[in-house]
Amino acid sequence: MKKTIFSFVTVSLLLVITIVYSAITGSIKVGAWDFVTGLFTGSNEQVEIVKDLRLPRIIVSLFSGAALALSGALLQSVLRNPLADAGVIGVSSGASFFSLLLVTLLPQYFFWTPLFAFIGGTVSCFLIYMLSWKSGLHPIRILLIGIAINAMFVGLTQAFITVCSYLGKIPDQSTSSNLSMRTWDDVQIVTTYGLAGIVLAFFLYPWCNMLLLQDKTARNLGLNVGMARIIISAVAVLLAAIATAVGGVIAFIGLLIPHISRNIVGTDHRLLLPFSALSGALLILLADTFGRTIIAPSEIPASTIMAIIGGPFLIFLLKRSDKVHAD
Amino acid sequence: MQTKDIGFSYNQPRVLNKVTISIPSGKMTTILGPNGSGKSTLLHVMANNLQPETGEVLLDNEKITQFKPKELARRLAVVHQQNISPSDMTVERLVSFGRMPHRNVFRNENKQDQEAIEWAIESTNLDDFRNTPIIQLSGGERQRVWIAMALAQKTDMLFLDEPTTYLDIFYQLEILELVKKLNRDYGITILMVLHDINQAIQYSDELIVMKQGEVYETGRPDRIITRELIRGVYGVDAKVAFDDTAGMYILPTTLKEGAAAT
Repeated sequence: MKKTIFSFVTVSLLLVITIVYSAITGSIKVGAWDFVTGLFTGSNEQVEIVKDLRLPRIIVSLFSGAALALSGALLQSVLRNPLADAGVIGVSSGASFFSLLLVTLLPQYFFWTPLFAFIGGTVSCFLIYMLSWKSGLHPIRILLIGIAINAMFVGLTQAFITVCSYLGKIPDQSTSSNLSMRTWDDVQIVTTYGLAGIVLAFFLYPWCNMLLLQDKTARNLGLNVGMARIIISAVAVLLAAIATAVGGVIAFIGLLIPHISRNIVGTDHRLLLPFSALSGALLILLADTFGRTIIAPSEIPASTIMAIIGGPFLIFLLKRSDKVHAD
Repeated sequence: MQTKDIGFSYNQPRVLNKVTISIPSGKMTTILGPNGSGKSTLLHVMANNLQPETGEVLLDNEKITQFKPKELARRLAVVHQQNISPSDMTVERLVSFGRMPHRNVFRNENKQDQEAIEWAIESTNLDDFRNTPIIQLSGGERQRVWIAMALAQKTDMLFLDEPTTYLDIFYQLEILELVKKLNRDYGITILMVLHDINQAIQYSDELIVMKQGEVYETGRPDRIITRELIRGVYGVDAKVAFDDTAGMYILPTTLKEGAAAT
């Protein structure tokens, strides 16, 4: 228990430090103290610029990270699969494709992007369930089907962009995976829907815990397993969709963070979910801050950095799961 | 609890056919039969884990499908044959899952929950293992943990699916003695599936003998277990004998002439 409290305090502190560091670093430099006082007084001109340009980006990063990490933790619980991640199995690319359709064809409904992203994510999720359910859920099967679905939606997205540019209609930048140029509009979307999703996810912890046991055991403990699956999946898709609608597709975070969190705070979702949310926020913000400062004024998107870390990590997990199955 | 004309199949052919039985309250009942006779399937149908194609399962004259899942879980607990738990799951944490049917999102663990968990841990002799991960326990101890979880549900009925399979003979007897104690001391109605005929004879008030998805015979062990029954159900010739301490037992001698395994 002491270790758990220590872990929560550490990750929260790191989060605060990273937020402040990220806010004061970049092409415009502000002192940490000037930034904090400027935030409240509004008298410092530099801080005002940071507030307009950098703060939305930070908030969007934080919420995207938390949402994607939670989404991964929920998907892993519901699919009983440590390899499930919204970005890897195609939930995010489904969401991305549908939000691209909306933004291009009906740009006036910008605020409804998350809804369309949610529909797209649901389509992916439904396809994965339908195609990989064979008297149960087999981890590797889900991953393979998911990768195929992901490839399909990525392909559709690229084809759509090509067709649009041929027709002289350039799709909005927001669908490419990049956290730069975020505005307070994006912040409004991500906080409105994001907070709802995060709160919903926390309420699902007893169900996620029961799904740690087998279906038959959970059922005999009074859980309506089928219904719990649908609701948990829906919240997972919602979280991934919001993050994708605002921050684009960022894969692997939902894989990495819940795994590391499980090693630190254990499998009890009452702790695992909040810890994953905090660590996910921390990791994306770190990746984004690193990406925009390392070769400034050029930027490496956070999604690229996540792919570079995440790819090897997936291989590592796959190798380990081979061992688990051999037992 | 009763069943009426239960029929069930995974695919063709039928696994259960017109099974009508009743489980007497406060007694220990065992479903016995050869491999593939449908005994575990019947237990799962009665636990509402599988939906029968025909017929119904009644609890207090009400169909079990009419019960809300949580309500049923407060009446009936099930210990499954093979169980999986995460590597960091400790004994006490798993046993506390047994309180889930009594709780909801907005209610934290209360005194009643804690008492039930304590009682379950004590009755299964797991006091020393409270904070031990289940993965570090022996097969027999693990089985006791799953029984403890079922006990924490505080139900008046307990189903066990082959609770002694894969265990050494010491742990087999330990588990059966525990089940017997739960029945005698707390009046919990027991329904279990057993593989071992002698254990079934020794530890059951009632037997339900199955063959090829149908009920072959039901009744008290000393009344129904005969040479003819063993021969008819298992295709084995056996000696039915009595021992002063163990009571009735059977000793298989030879395969029935011309019999093939069914």
